[in-house]
Amino acid sequence: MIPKSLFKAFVLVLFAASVTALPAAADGGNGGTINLPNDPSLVQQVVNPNGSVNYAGLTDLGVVTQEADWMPHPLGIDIQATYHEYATASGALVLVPTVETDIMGRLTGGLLENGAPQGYYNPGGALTVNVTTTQYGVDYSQGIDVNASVQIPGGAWQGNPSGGLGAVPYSGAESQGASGLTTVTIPSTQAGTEIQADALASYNDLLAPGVLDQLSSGVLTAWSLVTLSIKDDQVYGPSTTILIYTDCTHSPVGCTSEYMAARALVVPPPSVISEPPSCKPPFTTSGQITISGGPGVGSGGKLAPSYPVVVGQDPQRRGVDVQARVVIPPIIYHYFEAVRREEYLCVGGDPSPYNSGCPGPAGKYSNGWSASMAGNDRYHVVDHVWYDCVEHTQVYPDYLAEARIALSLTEESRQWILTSLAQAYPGAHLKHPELGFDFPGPGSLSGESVVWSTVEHSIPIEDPGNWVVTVSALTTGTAVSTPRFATLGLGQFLDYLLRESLVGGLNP
Amino acid sequence: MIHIRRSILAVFSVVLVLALAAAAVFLIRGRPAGGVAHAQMLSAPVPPDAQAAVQGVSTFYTIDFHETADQWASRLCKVLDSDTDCQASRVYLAPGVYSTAQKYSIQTSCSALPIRLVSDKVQDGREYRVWEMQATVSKVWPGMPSPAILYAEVVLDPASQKWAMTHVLLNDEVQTLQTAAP
Repeated sequence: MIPKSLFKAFVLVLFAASVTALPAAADGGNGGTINLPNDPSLVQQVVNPNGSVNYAGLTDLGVVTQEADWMPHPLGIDIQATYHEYATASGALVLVPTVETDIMGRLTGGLLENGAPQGYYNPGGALTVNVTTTQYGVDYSQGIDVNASVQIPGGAWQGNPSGGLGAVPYSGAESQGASGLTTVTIPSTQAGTEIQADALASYNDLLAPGVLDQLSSGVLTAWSLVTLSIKDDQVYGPSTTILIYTDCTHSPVGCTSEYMAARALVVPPPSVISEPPSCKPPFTTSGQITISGGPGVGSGGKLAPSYPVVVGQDPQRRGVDVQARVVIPPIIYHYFEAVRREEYLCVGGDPSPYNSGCPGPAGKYSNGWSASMAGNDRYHVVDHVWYDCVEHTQVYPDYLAEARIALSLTEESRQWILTSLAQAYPGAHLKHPELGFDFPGPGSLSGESVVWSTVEHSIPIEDPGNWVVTVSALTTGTAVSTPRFATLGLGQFLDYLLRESLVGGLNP
Repeated sequence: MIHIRRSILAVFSVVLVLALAAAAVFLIRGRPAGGVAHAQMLSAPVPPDAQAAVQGVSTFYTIDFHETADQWASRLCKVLDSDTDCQASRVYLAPGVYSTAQKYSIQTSCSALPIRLVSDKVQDGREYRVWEMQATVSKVWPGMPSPAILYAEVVLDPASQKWAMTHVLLNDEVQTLQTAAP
């Protein structure tokens, strides 16, 4: 291995060479912009703050290989690109290429003009995405802001526009392209920062731009790169390039069944969710308060006697019995609730690796299902969620607060007493033309209604004539309503005046 | 007359054979570096560097799909020059040999013949040579014709003065070699 001090010097040279090598590539390839990851949480799911791979947070999906004609191979032998495959907790795909795959992908596999490893993106073809992903020119020791977008006019990094030193807690390099790929390259985690730096330098040594020229000229051979990488692995532990894909269709290995199965565990089926509706505000309804009395309509509520006479003429002072009855219907409170509904649909379309089909049973789906939809990449499950406004009602009894029975001599009877009767019986006058009786509630519950009923016995009527009976009711109100008031005339009854004349009557 | 003619023909034949043999030895051993203009198999005793290449190539292409990758690598490592090349073969090549063998159910032996020395260079104090070889496998598979022309690199151990193969050249290396060769 190269002595440490020489190595560091070599790295500086490589660094200088690389940043100056970038401009043509960057300008020609993507306008000089490197888009760094805009989702730091995604990187942090994969990389620990100390720079190591967060294996505990990843689901190990094993080793996966890729047919890769860009991997140097002896005649007749297919050498496949090899990656360790993981899934993140959020369902992203993580590929960790072997160091040989990484190096060959970047160098012999077709290191593109802008430094991007062709093999990772579009094996055997031209890179079409607007991306540069490379370790070149990155000062690992300072870290980079994962939210930064770094311009490279003239090929040099402008530094860290928003972060500066220690902007990210780990010492790695990363970039993200339009393909949804995030590349994180971290040094060996076998030992402290010093050996990490050496390992990284060694890694950069293998990936330096000059290596490509040395390969072309035969100074270096692909085999020597393999042996160098193995030596570095043995001395420093693996330097790790991590490829993070939010869309597995962009990955070199595509969407493996292992990944899709792991993804299905953490990524729920696509949902179609309707916004909760604005339900109607609550309101109340109720029936009318009904008032009745006596034996029938128009009786003035009088029960007895059949022919009442003024008490002054009745030696028994019988008076009049008046009945009143009030029925208060309840208050109905109507309120609405947005109730979440959910159903699973099996939706068809074009074949897609993200379509894992619709597993049975048939009863799971609201829109029908057949066995051919299971495991069929033309179908996928959609979780359809919507809301209904469901009406609820609550019954509140509205009790009687106070009732009043009012008796009033009609105006005609009053005039009759003061005129006709006064002519026959001078001195006749109105004695008590208004009578009233108050009753407290609350009434009694009959079903959901409140019922109040009373009979006022022996009302001492002193004024003859027609009496109008009116019953009024005031309710207590409820928690959801104000007190209600109702009044109703029950009609009239006649209170007689007995006369000594045998001819004609003298009643109003 | 007939006897005289037969004697003349016999002498001429012997001279011709000797001349051809001498020319072959000259062509093969006389100009080792920088490539040789004539592609011709050795008919003289095979030199030790070519023997190492023959042994390496024969072992490399002796493949049995019943074997594990590690078994193939272990056999190969016995004829390689160093632990580093052994380890590289085990890590980089063996999985590919295994998967190729599985893919095509390969069960083959291989015989190899040196054709010509195409490269001779000293690097880090060690002498490396690349031999163009003709390999004949008993079973062909897609991508592997028979006979096939391929290249093997051998290195001389300065201590033991023995030659051993480092590796069968990879396609990128062959391309570089052919581009660089005069």
